[in-house]
Amino acid sequence: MTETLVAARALEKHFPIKHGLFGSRPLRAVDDVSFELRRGETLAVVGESGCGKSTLARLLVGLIRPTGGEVIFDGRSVTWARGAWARDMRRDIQIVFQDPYSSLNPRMTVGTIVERPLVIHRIGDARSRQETVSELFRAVGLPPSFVARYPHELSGGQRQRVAIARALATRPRLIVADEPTSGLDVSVQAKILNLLRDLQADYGLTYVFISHDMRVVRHMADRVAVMYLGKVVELTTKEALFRGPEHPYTQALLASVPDTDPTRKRTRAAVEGDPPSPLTPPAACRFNPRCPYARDICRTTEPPLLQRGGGRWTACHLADEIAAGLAAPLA
Amino acid sequence: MAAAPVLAVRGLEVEFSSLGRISRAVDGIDIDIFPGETVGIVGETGCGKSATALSILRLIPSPPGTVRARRIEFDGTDLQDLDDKEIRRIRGAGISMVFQEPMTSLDPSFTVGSQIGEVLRTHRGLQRGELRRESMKVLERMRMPHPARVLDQYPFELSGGMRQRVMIGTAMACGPRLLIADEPTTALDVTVQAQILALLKDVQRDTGTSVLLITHDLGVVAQNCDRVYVMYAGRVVEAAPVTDLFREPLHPYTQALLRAIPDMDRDHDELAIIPGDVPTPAAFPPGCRFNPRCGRAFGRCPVEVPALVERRPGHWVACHLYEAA
Repeated sequence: MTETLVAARALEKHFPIKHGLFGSRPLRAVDDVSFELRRGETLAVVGESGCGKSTLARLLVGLIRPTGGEVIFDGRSVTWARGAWARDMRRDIQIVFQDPYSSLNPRMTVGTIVERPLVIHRIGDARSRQETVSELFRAVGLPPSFVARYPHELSGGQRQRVAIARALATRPRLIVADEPTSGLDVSVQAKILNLLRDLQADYGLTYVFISHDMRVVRHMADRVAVMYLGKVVELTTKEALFRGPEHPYTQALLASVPDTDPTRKRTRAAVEGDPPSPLTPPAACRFNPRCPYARDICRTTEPPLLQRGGGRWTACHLADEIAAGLAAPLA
Repeated sequence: MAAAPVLAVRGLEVEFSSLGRISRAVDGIDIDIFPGETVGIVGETGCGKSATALSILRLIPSPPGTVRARRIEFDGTDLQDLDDKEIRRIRGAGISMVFQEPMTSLDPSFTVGSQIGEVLRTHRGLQRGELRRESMKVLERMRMPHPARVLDQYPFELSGGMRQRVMIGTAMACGPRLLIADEPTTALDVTVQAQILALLKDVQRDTGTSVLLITHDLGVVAQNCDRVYVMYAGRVVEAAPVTDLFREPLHPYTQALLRAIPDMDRDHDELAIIPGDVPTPAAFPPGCRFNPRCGRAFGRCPVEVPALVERRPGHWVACHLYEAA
């Protein structure tokens, strides 16, 4: 058994977008993304709308096929899996979506919803499946008596527990959670995050945790990949990222989180402008039009994601200067 | 504060009826907003914060909604005494409003320029020749990049942050005394949220407009508000200057809510949780509505509604723990 459970190798997903009458241009939703994930680890993928984090989630579980590169799970390709091999993959890799309203079938009881993966993968007989469903309900903190209820009878937090129970049903090894607590109130979010951490310890799960919320990332992650317009711009341990973010975009993300201490008031936004449309990403470094440090080289040459020691990767021409405090924001 | 409040609300109640059942989403709250102040109303889903905001400008559809109050006094006039035509004059010119989703508050079939122009014509009586120049100024004040081009664009051509700049600019175009912003940055990315919040601060500093900011985000409150009302299940449970609220929250609900937020500066083994769920208006418990979820509830809590009392100067709390002392 190797340490690495999941690897993304030069992963790329380009969607063709119609442009004019005959033309089409690609939307580079995910562009040359590589990382490795150890067993039992949580990798958080963080970024703003259009950065490709949800597309990455779908690539990792094999819901969509990459246009380049591949996903390796436990030494075998998810991307090229067929037959029994593909079935195994689908048992081993599960996903929890953001919106439990639309990811649960409103016509099924939540008991049936959680049982479905067991039926599909022919796990157990009818009776043992009922027992498994009850166990799963207990594991996610729902009363087993809830099995006969329908999704609309549950609160948002309870629905997300159902979605988590369904993901756990096949005893997966990897769970990809795509913004599992966005849209939930902070008190409900706290419970779901605690549950996910407990389940990880109990079941030895590996997580890819997609989020836009730096607070949630800090709580959940071992390592963090920061994405901007389809690219990973920084990849490092949680400690390093929160202690000293290297990429100017990571710095901006962290500085933009509203501080709950009113005595530390911020008067200026960390960066100006909106994230550009992923259809028309800026040339060279995609962050350059918003970057307070940008130089000529940032507008002409795309910075590669370079290893910078301590397991840290950063895609920024000025990373050394910024880290040494030598680069000054130009704005 | 010596000055008279811009807005004084007393005993506000909002009820919704559905299938013959009446539920009271807002149950007797008082709010004061003084000149130049930014006041927050914070709370979780269903606490009644948005219903409160909408009821002030009579924007709750009736039926199913009913709004009652002893007073909703704006600049000395009780808004409840005004007819529909008079309330329309208040909207925009006296009190204006910004919503969460700027896409649905802008008309998709008109250019930005014509929508700003309409507001300027209606409330400031501007003539055709002046409209474009004044609309440009509105966008420039919002630090909109390429304002001339944006005037000729349609809402779908703009990003979420730019649309919200248009909305705030339009809302401020007629120099209102009060701006009500209902979750104005909730749909935006965090770097854009920071820009819009900074912009709101600047606009307010320049104009002296009072702001009522409705949000679920305690970070947004801490960064932007002078005073804050914490709502739970249709009632105000705590009201205080922000520095006091965050330094020493008194209500067990406020304390629990603050503890549930993952910290940016340190690790948690486990996040503090609040047991149970937020009740729906149809099932508000008797007495203190937080009592079934409160770790410190005692005999009186499920029986008697705690009054909002001033424990420290300007710091009010509705909790029996403090009445006994």
